[in-house]
Amino acid sequence: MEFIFSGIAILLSLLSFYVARNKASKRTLKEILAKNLEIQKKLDTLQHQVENDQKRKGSATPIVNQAEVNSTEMSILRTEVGYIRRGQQENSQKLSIHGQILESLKEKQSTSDSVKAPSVESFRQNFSTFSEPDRSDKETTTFQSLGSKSWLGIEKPTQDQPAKDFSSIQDSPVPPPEPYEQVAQQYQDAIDRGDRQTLRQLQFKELNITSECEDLLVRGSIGQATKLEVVHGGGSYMVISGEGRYWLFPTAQTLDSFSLNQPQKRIFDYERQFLSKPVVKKPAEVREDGESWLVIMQGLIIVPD
Amino acid sequence: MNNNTILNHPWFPKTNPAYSGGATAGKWQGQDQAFLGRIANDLVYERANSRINSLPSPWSRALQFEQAILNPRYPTRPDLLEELFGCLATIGLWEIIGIKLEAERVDLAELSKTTDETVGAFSRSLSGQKPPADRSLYELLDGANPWDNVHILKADGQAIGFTSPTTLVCPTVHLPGPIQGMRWTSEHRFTSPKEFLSTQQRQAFADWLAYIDKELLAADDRKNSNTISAISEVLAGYVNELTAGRVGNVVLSQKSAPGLPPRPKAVSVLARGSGLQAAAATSLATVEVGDRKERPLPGATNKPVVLVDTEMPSKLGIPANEITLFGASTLEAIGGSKEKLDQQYGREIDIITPDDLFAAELYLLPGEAALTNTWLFSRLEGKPLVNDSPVTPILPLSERARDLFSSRELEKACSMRVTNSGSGMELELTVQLRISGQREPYPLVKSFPIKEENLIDEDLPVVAVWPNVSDERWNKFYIFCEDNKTGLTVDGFSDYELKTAREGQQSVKYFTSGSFPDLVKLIERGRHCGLIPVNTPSDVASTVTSWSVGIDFGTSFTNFFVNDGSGAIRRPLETRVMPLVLAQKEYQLNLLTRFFIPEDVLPKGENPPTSTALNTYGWQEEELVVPQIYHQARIQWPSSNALSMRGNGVHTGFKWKESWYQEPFLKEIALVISSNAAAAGATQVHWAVSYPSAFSRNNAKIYCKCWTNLCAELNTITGVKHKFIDDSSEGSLQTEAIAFASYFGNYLNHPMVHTACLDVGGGTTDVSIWQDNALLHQVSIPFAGRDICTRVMQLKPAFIRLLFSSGSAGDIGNNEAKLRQEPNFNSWFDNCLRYETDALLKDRIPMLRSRQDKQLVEFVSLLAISFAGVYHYLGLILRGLMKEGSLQKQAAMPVYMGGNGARFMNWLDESGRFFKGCDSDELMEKVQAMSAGFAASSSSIASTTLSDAFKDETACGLISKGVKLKGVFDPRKDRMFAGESLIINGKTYDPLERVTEPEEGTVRDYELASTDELKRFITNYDEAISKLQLTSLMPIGKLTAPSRLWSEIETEIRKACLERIDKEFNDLEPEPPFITGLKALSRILSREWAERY
Repeated sequence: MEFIFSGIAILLSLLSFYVARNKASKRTLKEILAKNLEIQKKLDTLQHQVENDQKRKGSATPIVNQAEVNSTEMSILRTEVGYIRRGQQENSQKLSIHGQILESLKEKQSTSDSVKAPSVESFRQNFSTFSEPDRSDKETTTFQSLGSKSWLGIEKPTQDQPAKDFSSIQDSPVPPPEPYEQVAQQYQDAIDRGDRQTLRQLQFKELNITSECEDLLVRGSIGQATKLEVVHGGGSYMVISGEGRYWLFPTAQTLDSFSLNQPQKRIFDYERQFLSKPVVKKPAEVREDGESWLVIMQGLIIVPD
Repeated sequence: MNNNTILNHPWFPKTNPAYSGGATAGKWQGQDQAFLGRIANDLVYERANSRINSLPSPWSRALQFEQAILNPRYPTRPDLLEELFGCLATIGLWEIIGIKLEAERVDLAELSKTTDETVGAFSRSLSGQKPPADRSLYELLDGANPWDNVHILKADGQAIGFTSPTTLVCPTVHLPGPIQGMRWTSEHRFTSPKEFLSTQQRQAFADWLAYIDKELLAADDRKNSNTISAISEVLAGYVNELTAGRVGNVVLSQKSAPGLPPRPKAVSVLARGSGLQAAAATSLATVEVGDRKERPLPGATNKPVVLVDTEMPSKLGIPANEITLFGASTLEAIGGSKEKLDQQYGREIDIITPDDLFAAELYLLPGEAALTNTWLFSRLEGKPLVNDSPVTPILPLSERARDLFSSRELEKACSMRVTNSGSGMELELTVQLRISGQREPYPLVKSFPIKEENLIDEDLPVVAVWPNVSDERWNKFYIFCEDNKTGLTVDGFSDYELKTAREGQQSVKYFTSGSFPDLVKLIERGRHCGLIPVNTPSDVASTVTSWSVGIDFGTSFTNFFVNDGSGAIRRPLETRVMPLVLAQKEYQLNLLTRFFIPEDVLPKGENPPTSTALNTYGWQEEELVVPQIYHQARIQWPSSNALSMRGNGVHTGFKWKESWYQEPFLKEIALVISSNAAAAGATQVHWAVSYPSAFSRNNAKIYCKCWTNLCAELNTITGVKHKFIDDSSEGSLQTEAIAFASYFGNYLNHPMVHTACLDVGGGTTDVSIWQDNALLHQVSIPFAGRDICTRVMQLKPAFIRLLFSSGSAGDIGNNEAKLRQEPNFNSWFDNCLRYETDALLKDRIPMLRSRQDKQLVEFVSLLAISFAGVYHYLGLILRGLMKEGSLQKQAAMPVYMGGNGARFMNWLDESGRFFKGCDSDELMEKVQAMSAGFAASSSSIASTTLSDAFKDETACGLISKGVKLKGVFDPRKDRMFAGESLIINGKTYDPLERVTEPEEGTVRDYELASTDELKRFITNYDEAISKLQLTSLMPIGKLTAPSRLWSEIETEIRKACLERIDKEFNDLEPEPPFITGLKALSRILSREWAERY
């Protein structure tokens, strides 16, 4: 009897888990669709810009004449377009995967609903499935960085799972993407890959907190925003520019050190989650102030609990 | 055979007179030995282009040389004599050139008897055809033919000829290979050595030849005078050629070539060649070693350093044979071989080659200036790049360079230039050596390709050196770095000692060196990557010769004052850490704070005092083991990480418990201070230290011993003399109470006529009573800042959040139970208070009080009760002293109050500032007077003077001189007043009686007989508030419910008393029973306050 009760309890928890996941997937889907729309718009604008550029140069063909067009401009545009296309591709994949997830969840939900009096054997099966998740489950829960797809709750698509139509979801209002999202993604990807070259390329400035500010921080003086200065070597923070704003990220080494120390320097707040290593959820925003940089909005670091 | 055959021509060359051939070709005409000799003598040689290598007689070569000596017209005479002198030079100069000479006897008569077919037959043939004895230089005692006994001579194992009875030696016709260092043997035969010898070697050879000549002429076994005079003439001729006839005293080798007999003279004389001294000359290759000679590295031999460089002739413009490397050895003689010179002079000299000095490869670090505190960049011309990004070269010198040069010398000697070759960028390193006796420096140059694969593209490791003090003033240095098996790290030299620490994934290592680590070796995966040339600490021009340092080792903070002759001052501490690599700042700060010493101690200018805190990260604590600095323990310096003081590896409060942490803490603080003293030019440090009289007798002894040992150790580690006199009368060791009073009496020149001093620290309040500059009484009571404020705060995290900024207080959390268990809460919170108190008292507290924040008013009232309790006990002391008859004036005493805990007096006033005549001042005076039982008098003012230099008083007082304060300062002779009725082992002490040690030593029974004085205090306190009509502070009656109070107090007191039972009286920290009651009262009131909000 006791076993049956515990079985029912497990089943209920499974159900609530599926429902929660269903909701989360829907939310993510909405966000992705919104982002995709924006990307598409950007792509169109850029394509339009390229075409205008070519027309202005008097070229009859749609192929860019590199000798005539400013090569730096073109290369930036191409990179941008490349990024956007890649983003769009990825988002399409995400859409497809989420569609599959939703479908499977719906199926599971309906199956679960239809279960009225589960046999002892099925309890056992459910119990074992729940308590011993397979490898992919483990990978998508605790030990992935925030920047990775699995953290977003996305699983890799399989060939035999076609994308579903989610036009109905597209109608729902979605929050606009954060302005730092793209640079944050690039930063996180480079961090995950240990790609020092990309991080160097992303870095607009290398900064450290000024010693005067460090002193004030130790004294607990709270009147001023944290002030940083440009250094050439030995910098613990890096500025990355994105959409005309400046975002402050910790260097890979500084980020890593946050798992041990979470210094209160009024640059980042910290949030604890089940992760294997710290990740930047939101970079701090900085602005140039003469020769210094001031933190105008604190960022957020997720640190392992 | 026909007429055209070879036999139609004479087999021999022409003779004079001509000999006819035989009648029949192919028929041998037997002739005797004399006839063959005659033919040999009559041979006529054209000056031949080709050499004649054999004659029918196996002795023909010897006979040729004989003829060359005897017959001035002998056709090949010059060539033969060249060979002869070449061979003699090998024999005469073997030791100078550094080869091995040996001889092997060949006895033909004996060998002829052997049955071996080859040896026997050949020997018989040789013996049968041996030349006659009559032209021999010598005769043998047994009359045998000297040709029957010859000696094969071998140089470095290679046969070079044999001893000849007529020509001294007969050189071999063919040398299998050249003899090292003797270029006259390079063409497989001997040639004239003259042009290959240095001037000194030529002279030495000439002297030796003259010596041979002289010995031959004087030999008692001489035989054929013609031969002797002929050879003498030949030798003289060559001496003339070598030195224009100049002959000096021969210097013979101390060693004899083995295998040559003592007789005959003509053979034995060959055994000892010219000695090394004979050809010794001033070295042209001795490298001038300056700093390393003056201050040798541990284990250094201090031998002359000789450079061997095959490019010397072109660089110096001197031929190789004239470049004396060392002693008699020339570059020519050693053939450019370091090993050859080493064999000869290895015991006397150190030898270097350019390859020894330069590293094999150039390694690079990312960034334009990846190294700090180095002169590297000032000696670099051009910008090295890898993939268009700037890189920093690591000085590509080998570790051998460190043995010879200091960084300071290399700074002058080295220059680097970026060049472009066909294959890419290169770094050309030039090292200008100083050679003894040479005016111009000697350049060594090597070009290193700048290779992408040699770029160590990773986060730079933390590498730091301590202390940044010249090794003329310091003896033990530390090099700290991350221990990275796969990345860049420091490697030690043979004279370094290595210690390591590991915490989680983080490994660090500590090298110690007996000299300043001015050249630091970097490695990556075991590969030598070059050296960091460190800027050498500069010596200060200072008139300072000694420092007097007063150390106040406090419960929360340790403070020190310095008097360098210009008066006692609080001197900001420089850690004197030198980072060598431009590692990322935050990472470096964290690592250095956690495992070593940070570069700067924050906040700037406010250290000292520093937290009395130690961390043991990376050390697995072992029982009964005192941790060593730095690899096991180091001071926990304040850090911008607010929670650093609360880490798991941090230890605080060891002034009173876990005393084994005292030694490493005090040692490090003393070392850091000493490094500052040494850097300022001091050669002597006089330590004056204080201790609380609340220390148990045993603790006081341990503390005193700790300082005595420490000074002995400091004398070894530092280059400064340390003095600590273990005698309280001499001033080195004083109680905190006396030192504190000295601050007011001596430093501030305040009257000490009828005065009480209260030093409210973190853990103890040190009380001293003064009358006419003499000490009446001193006592240390274990009730201070932590009891008054910190522990109350600990009960209420929300209240901390209300008062303090998140920056300093950090994330304290809401878990009150956890916070109460937090072992380092006190130290952490003391730091918060230290930095935030000013802002707190200036703005937040007055604001909150003006709003009548009840929680705050009650909290402040709790502080006031605690302080008033101390004043009540002060009144009890005065009563006791009066009862004893020592107190002359029956009036409440003016009080000088200071110490870190005295800051809280400022909280008592609504303005956030304590001042004379403020509410709390009046309250304290009243409580004291009521407790002492003195009638209030309008003439006596017993105000409290609050110090404006909290925590500085004791340290400053320790080294302040002025009024001669008198009295018996030894606290062991001054027992505490009980203040409350006490029973120990059945003996009852009245409140005004002093507590003495029970006879049996062990405390079996300990209890407070009553709490009358505590009750009197509560009554007095509330009455004083009422009489003074104070509204800013609440009476005790309004803070608690009297019904519950006493039972809880009794429980608390009982608990405290039980802790003292079964302990040795001398091991117990003295605690007046009244203070035990006061603590209980304070705890209960605090608990109730915390529960109310």
